[in-house]
Amino acid sequence: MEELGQHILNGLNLGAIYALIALGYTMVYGVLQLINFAHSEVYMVGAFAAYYGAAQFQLADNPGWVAFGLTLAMAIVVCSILGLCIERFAYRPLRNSPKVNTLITAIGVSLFLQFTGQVVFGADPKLFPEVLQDRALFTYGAIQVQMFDVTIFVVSIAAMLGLNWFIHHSKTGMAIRAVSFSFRSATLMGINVNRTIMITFAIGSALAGVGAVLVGLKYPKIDPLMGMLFGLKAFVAAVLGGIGNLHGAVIGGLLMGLCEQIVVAYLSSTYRDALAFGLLIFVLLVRPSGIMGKTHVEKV
Amino acid sequence: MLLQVKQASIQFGGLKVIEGLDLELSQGELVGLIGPNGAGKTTAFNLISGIYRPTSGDIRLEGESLLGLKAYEIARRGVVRTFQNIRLFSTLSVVKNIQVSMHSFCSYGLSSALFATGQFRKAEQESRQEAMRLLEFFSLEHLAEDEAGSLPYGVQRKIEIMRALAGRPKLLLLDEPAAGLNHSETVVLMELIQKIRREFNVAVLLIEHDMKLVMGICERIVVLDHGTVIAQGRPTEIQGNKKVIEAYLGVEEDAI
Amino acid sequence: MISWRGWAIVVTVALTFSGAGHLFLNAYLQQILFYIGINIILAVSLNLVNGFCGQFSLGHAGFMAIGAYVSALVSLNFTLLQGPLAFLNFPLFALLGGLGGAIAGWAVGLPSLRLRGDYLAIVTLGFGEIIRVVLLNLEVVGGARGLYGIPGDTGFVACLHIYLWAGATVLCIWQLLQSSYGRAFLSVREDEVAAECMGINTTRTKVTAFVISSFFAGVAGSLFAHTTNSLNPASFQFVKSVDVVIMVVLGGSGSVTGSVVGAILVTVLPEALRPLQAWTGVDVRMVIYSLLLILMMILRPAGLFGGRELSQLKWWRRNAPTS
Repeated sequence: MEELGQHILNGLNLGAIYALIALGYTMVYGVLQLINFAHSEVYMVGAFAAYYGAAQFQLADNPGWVAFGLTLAMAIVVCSILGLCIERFAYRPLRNSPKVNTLITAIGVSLFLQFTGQVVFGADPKLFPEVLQDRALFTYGAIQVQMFDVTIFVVSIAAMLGLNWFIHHSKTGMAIRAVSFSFRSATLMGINVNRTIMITFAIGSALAGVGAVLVGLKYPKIDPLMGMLFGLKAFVAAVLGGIGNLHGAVIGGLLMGLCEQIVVAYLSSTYRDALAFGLLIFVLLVRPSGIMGKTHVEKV
Repeated sequence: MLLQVKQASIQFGGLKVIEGLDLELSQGELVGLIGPNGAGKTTAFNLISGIYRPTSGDIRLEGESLLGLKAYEIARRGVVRTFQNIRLFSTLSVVKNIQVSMHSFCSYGLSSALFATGQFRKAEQESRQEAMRLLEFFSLEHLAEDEAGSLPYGVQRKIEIMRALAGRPKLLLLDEPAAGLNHSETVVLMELIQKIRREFNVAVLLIEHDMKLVMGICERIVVLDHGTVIAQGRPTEIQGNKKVIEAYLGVEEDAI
Repeated sequence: MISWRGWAIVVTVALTFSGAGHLFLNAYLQQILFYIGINIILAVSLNLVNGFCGQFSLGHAGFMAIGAYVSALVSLNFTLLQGPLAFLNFPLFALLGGLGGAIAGWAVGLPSLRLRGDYLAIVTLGFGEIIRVVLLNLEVVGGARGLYGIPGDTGFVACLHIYLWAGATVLCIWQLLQSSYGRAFLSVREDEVAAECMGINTTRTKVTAFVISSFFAGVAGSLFAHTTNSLNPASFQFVKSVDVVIMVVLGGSGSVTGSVVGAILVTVLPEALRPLQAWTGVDVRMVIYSLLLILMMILRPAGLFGGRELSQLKWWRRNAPTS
């Protein structure tokens, strides 16, 4: 019973990170109706940015909140810039093309980053710098709560709450919501659609950077292909919750983390990755709009 | 009785777009469906052609209910339509556009197509001849191989009608066939619709805003406003109908 | 009574290629010739769904995998024909592989094809990966080790076999596209709602295209298995599906000629790049391909041939013999 509690805790923790990445997918889908395949690679680059950045400034030598904060900052900056570049050079030229063209481009960008990453970073896994030191915080029966777990949880929740406030209580947030309804109407209301989309990408990518650092702490082995699987699961989480819906991304992420933890613990770890695909297909075939989504009627 | 719409209603969320629609058409009749913008005319077409399913009521073709049938099944039963915003298969040639509607009559199977058998070649020849006959009826045979999307607007409207006729309909639904046409083009269209009705032995229900056309060729007119029928009758009856005038022009201020 | 002219051309071309390959090319280049033929089948069949029917599928590798494994398993465990008819064994394996692919295509297509654009892409990607993961974990097909010692023709006969299939694929799909079914595919691509209203059962049309496409993918898989003589789920990853997408996009969606050319280019390019690879020491193939994909979409999404075939190019019309 208490073992279950530990699994639930781990699941929610993992789920929180999935939620962070899922938010990036869902935000871009909301404004562009595009599945940003490259998002998982932005996440990967974030991990490596943190890796090289920490090495550059020797942050692992002085682990602690300052080192952690600086690492986060570096990942956020690099990811945001990368996300902005991708939007500007790969997606924006295709704004008026059929959606499938942009999808193909997204796949192209994703693969390009993966394979270039292998060339530039080397295909071998590297060890994420220990910018924060883990320790057991407290135990409740058989449930052990590590510092990393709390950090992950707190940072994720803080980021999500920050985003939520931003989307619902700031002018730019309202602009983002408007653009996700209709480009034309938003433009007519005086919203700079290009700028809004850029901000959306920057925020989504920044969250990916945060997620990358958190993952790097807890699962320190990083490699250029790490984005594929993790990103896929986060994407499934976004679809599960209802792609385009921010609350859905969070719910989907937490659910995804929980399901994965339970499957690994009680079923088999071989099929852990297949779970993501299975879940994805199940959702798309049974209820494509996800948990929080609404089905929309095509006007003829 | 060819078409019977009985108390059909449809609502989207809380919005009742059509309520209690009653409409009947006999074989070969030419009926006009008019009403101010937003009255629900195209939605009525969408209901009849099966794109939407009514939330209540019934729609019958030759006595058999069309409810629950998919749009392509309804088309195969003989209800074919054109669209308000032209929806041609733009990159296909004109003759191929027309031939698409004939697919349901295709007399050969997949294997004949994959291996280009004699049966396939013969059937294709006949299909092309049938399409060309339609083109000749409309005097457009010189455009047969042109890309449909590259042709002028008025011609595209005609192609849509040809494409619909190729489906051998019993009931032809024309959605604003005169939209964007000038006076002389409209006159030509009026003659064309009547000629179609005669030669193809098809009932026609048309949505139009051009009153000259409607009053000129329709045997009967149905007036829709806010999703319900407010008047029905011969053109002369409709012209003087107070409710119809109010629907289009509004009520006079001192009358309130 | 089928049209014999097309088949005569297919047989002639296949004989010419195989003969020339056998006489003038070394074993290494012959292998490339084999892969060109297999890729032509993959590209043309994918184009049927993606280009002509307008449904974006990302799971082609999955159907290829099924065809490959079905064919390999049958050939390893059964001897179908002996004696004078033994030469028909490999075509039979290919047919079985194709059948496997077709059944899988039907199973995947039926529930998935009612989804729109990007959702369909993701679902087909998902199915492709699930097929791979299942094969990876199934001990009866060798799991991660895969299958070994798969019998295969070599040399002239193998090449002829592959190119006969490649020619058959191009011919059959070409003829299909000239038919009413082909027009149905195109109408679904152009405007699904309008197609429905003209009496086209759009779901059935899409599934038909999908099943035919996955049949040929299965055939390609079988040919692949008997050429490489060993199979491994790693050959059928998502990247393989993307490879085929690149062939189709490069050549031009909606052009059979384009797919053939795209297949040839995508197969040959890495070989031309080998010196570069040796010099830099890294696998630049996918880096260049992904960049190519991005640039093509931005600069020339219509691909090399647009929606046109060789017969439609102006210079061909002027110079080719009248048919």
